[in-house]
Amino acid sequence: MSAADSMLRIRDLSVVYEIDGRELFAVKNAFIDLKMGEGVGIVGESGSGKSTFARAMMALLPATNARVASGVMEIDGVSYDMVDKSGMARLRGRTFAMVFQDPLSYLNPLMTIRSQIVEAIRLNDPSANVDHRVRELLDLVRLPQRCLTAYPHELSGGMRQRVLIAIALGCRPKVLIADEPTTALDVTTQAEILALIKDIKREIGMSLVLISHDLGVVSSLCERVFVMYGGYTIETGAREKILSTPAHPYTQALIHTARAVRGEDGRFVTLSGDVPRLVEAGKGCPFAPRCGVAMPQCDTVLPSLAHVNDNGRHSARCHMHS
Amino acid sequence: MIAVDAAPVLELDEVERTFVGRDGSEVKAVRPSRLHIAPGEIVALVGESGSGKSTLAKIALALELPDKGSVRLEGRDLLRLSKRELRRRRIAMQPVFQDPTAAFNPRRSIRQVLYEAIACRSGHTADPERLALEILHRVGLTPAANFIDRYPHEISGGQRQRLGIARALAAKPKIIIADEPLSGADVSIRGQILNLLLDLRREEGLSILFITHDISIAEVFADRVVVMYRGMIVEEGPASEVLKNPAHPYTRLLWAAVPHIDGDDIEAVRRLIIARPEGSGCPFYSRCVSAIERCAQEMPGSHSLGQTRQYRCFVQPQNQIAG
Repeated sequence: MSAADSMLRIRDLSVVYEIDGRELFAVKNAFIDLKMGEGVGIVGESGSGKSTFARAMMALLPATNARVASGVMEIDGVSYDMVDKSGMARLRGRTFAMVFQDPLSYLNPLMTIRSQIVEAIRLNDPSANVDHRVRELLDLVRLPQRCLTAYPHELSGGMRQRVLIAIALGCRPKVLIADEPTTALDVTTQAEILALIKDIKREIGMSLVLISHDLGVVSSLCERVFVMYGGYTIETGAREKILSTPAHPYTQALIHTARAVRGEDGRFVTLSGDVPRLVEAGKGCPFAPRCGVAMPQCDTVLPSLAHVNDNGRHSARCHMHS
Repeated sequence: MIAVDAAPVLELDEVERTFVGRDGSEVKAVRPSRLHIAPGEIVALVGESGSGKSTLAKIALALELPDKGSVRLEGRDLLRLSKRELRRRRIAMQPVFQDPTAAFNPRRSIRQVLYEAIACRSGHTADPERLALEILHRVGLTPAANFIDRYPHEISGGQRQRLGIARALAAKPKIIIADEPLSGADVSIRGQILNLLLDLRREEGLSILFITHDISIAEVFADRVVVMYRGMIVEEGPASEVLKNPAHPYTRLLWAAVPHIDGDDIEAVRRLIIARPEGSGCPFYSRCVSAIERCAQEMPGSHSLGQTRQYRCFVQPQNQIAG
């Protein structure tokens, strides 16, 4: 993709956690780009760095032991240094708004739904016609008026997630970041929320960064996919390409697992080993210890990102493709 | 492999359980239900939160007493046994929990965890260390000697779930009752756990009651699937048949709601999602796209479909609205 198409580009994002005096990377040289109105998914398991990536965008990393080591963000042609936390924090709300996995812990239990939505509207536009805007947002997330006087604990999990989406949209953000927005929900409620996000995306032309471990969820909302493993972006491409011809052995395994493929012996196709936690810098491919096709160089040399096909829109970080 | 004609290992008959709130309101957590599990059979109990699946599992384990009905393990009615006898018999069924971190005492080493479970076996075990090492090897915690003196928090989440299964095995059960054993596990670890359970069934003839909210796992993993909604078993039968061709509108909804990686399921499931006021009849009435008038007032009875399937719905499967 050329730079001109993108409304948002993040390059070379690295996030470091300091643990017991050691610097460990949660995110390393990761990137995304996003077009206006597009949905992209960041897919990975726990420890892949996907949530840290999102929190770095929102300048919401834990202040005590995490910091952005490098990263450049361009949005609508303006460039930001992601290391500058206060500069990034100013983008919160109007540029990026976020929806989390567990809405109850992000809603204030002592405030009514209405006052929490109003707070978000005023933050963006102090002179807004609040009543009109609240009604607009409620309609957008398909919540009835009577919810306005309710408190968070009085609503179901699905309704709380709708409220959280309304609050996020209250600031009219350019990009909605949704971190596992349906993971805590029952499958039928999940379907309702996914359908809602899909509708909103279409109705207001919203751009979406969806973070999920679930390829099925990502595939229902996103046109393009970024796969993360061990802090690195290891593969990216159009959803159809990633699903039909995944290039990285990890992506291949992830898709086999998601499809619950069983071999001739009736056993499920699996990945051996465990998901890596934080990685130390300067090693080889993070997936090498679990990779069925690893070569000697994989342990020592980090593969660079290489085009696979699809006119350069599909790339993978694997020595088989470099 | 599955001796369907053999006497069931576990038989729950007409069990029901109603919880009464402080304000006197009643919740029918389990409506009169029957659940039989054959030796070597894998049964998936599927439903969303509030469906009663975990309560039914607790009743099966005799951890929760039903208001009515019977629970028979290897032919013996557990509810009629003395406390002491119940503890002895119950060893034949072992639970595996959702959160393997919470399931272990952090101050006990893996050796202590396994020795304690081995001590539950009938008869004296001459060499518990050898047996513990064998079991660790069995669940893939190898080399076993490297694991036995570690503590549960020192191993990874996937390994801890294997340890949960190892502990269950150490008691030499006939049946494992696993409540959402995959929901804390990373996607790439799930296959490992499922394969381990499949191996145990094949090699030791274990029965497995697998409780899950994920109907797509039931399809690929279980012999039989039992679907619950608000305390009622709405459908049951061979997993492949039920999910290829559901006979209850709720099973259809659950199946359609799974976001499959291939295909635009959102559009299909939209047609199946509705909400209307509750009736006094079928508990699914308020969300059922296929409902007829009768459903609002009457509780549907159980209907058979062929030899092996049952469903509880007034509307015949061919007249139900598909996604």
